[in-house]
Amino acid sequence: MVIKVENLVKRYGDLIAVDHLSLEVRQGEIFGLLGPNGSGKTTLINCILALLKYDKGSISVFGKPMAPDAYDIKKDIGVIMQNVAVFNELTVYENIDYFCGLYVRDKTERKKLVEEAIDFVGLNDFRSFYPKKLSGGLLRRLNIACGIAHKPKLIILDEPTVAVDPQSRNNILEGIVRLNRLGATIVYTSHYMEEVEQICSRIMIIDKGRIIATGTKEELKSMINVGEIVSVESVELDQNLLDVIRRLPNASQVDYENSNLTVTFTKGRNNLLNLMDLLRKENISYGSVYSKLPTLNDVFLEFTGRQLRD
Amino acid sequence: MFAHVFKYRMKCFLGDRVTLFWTMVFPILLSTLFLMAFSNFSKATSFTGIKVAVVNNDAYQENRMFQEALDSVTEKQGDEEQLLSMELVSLEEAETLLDQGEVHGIILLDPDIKLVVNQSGFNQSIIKSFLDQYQQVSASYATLFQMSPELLANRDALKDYSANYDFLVERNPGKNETDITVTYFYALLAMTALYGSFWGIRTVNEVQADQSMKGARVNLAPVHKMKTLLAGILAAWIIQFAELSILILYMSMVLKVSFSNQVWCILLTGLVGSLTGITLGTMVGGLIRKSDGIKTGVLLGITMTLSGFAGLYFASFKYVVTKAVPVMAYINPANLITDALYALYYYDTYERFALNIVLLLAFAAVFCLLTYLSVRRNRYASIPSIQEGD
Repeated sequence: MVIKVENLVKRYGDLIAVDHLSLEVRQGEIFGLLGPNGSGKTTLINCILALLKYDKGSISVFGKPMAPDAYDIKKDIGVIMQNVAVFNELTVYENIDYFCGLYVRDKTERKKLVEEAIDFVGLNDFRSFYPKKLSGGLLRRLNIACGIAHKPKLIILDEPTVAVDPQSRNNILEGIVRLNRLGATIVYTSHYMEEVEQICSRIMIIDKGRIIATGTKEELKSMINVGEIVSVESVELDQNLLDVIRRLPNASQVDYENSNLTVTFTKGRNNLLNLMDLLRKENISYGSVYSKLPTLNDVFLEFTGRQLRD
Repeated sequence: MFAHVFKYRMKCFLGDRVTLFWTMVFPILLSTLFLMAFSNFSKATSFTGIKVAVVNNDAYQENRMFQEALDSVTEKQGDEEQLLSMELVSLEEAETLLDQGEVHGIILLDPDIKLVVNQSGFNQSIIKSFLDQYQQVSASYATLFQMSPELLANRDALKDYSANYDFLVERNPGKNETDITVTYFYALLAMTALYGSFWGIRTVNEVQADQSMKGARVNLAPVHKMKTLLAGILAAWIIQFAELSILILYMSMVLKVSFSNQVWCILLTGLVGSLTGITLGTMVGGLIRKSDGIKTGVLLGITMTLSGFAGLYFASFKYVVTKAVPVMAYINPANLITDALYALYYYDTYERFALNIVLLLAFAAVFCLLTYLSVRRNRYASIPSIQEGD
């Protein structure tokens, strides 16, 4: 087990930021920590990293108790924070060299690692640039390079794609998968469910410091009743027909607004076919039809009654 | 590891143009402005010989001793300014000059020495003091000759005796001339030394996880926080000392501000003053867990107040404060820096200088201790979200 957290409690005055939370991160996985803003993700990460005091519980990393002076553990951890933490007075190369040098003393080895990190994040053309000359996306890449240059076994990324353009976001996500393939265990926190769904092998959803659910994305989706959501555009329906639709097998919710129909089905077979057959029989014309499988947002919605981005 | 952190701390500080401006360029500009302001000030306060008319009559021509006494205060000797500026004229001309305000008084030998003035004042008092002193001396001579007539023949003995008299020549208790303007320049140097606290704030912020994201990164690395803090303090100290040395050189070589010739002692003052300033910054940065702006504001308030008490705004304020609250001279680091420079400039002994240096070191030690106590914590109660570019 790379990380083991047991019964962790962290309070800020009367507010419980982490509420009796336990988790395990296994070797070689990309573990996603998903939750809305303020759900306690960053607090949990800071507790794991021994930056924050906590009220109760225990944390071990690589099988040893985590502590501020546990340097033998820290040397194998790389952290990429939500906000960029680089020195504006140092070039791209110097920034990476500085942070790498806090972990690696040997100059020759460090030089090699810095070159590899620059190569990894694609900043070769910008190595002598100062951070202020870099775009937001390139700055994020530099931030990542500073966190991973020493080739850590465990990499923790705390919302690394906040305020990043789609191209840079894809670049970052691909990089995380590559790091994982190279052998690093990844803990990835985000409130973007698409990202977590895209790259994480196991996901924990948290809200108000508590675990909502844990599992693979398939396991999480299987925990809820929603099987499929069908949307039909430009369709004219009367109240009678809407009632008929509501009586279709597995239909759990029907919404009709501005000539757009959305039917949520529970798990079952032929839900889409049943709906199309009905419209055809009633000679109802319609525009585009979409069928969507449930998302992690639906999981969050079903467990908390709120949208993930509320 | 220490060398690695130190190297990059130096690079970061040398690239920090804003702090470099406030800790080096700004004091240089301010010292230049001081010079421009004080050049008129010193002209206004510089001493010129008091104009006096001496009536050229027979009594004057016969009194060789009085002529010699007048020569001793009207001729410029070395760097000393002449006390009197004499015009040898007839009685009528002397009266005209006095009426026109061209002279402050008339000295008339008739045969006794008389002083004629139109009004009483500082200059008239000085002329009178000179004449009183002369009369005292000449009376002493007369008594001496009466008691020992053989002295009249012994010119050498007479010469020795007269050589013991200086007529109203002002002398400093110290080795250099009093110059009120140096108070301002020394206080400016003290202010600059305390501006080292801005480096101190930055140094401490960048090792505290609850103060900056860079600090969080340092806390996550397998390196003792105190090691990175010490490397930062050392880098800041070297830069601040270099800046202070440049300022001293500029003041001394370009602005011609008077300093002691004991270069090593001046440099020691700069070295210790810089350390005190930097550790003041690390202490404030460690104790106050607020934004950078608030910390800088607090430090600016502290340094400007302490520099003010050391005579930065009004030179005499320094003495008023020291007279009213003597302990202030010893608990104000800015005052200790200015006093150390004064002690070197004015006094022949090192006692006062050494006391100031020891007290400055004591301050630095206390600031270091408080910095350590505030920074040593390993885990934080909370880590506020710190925005990009913190």
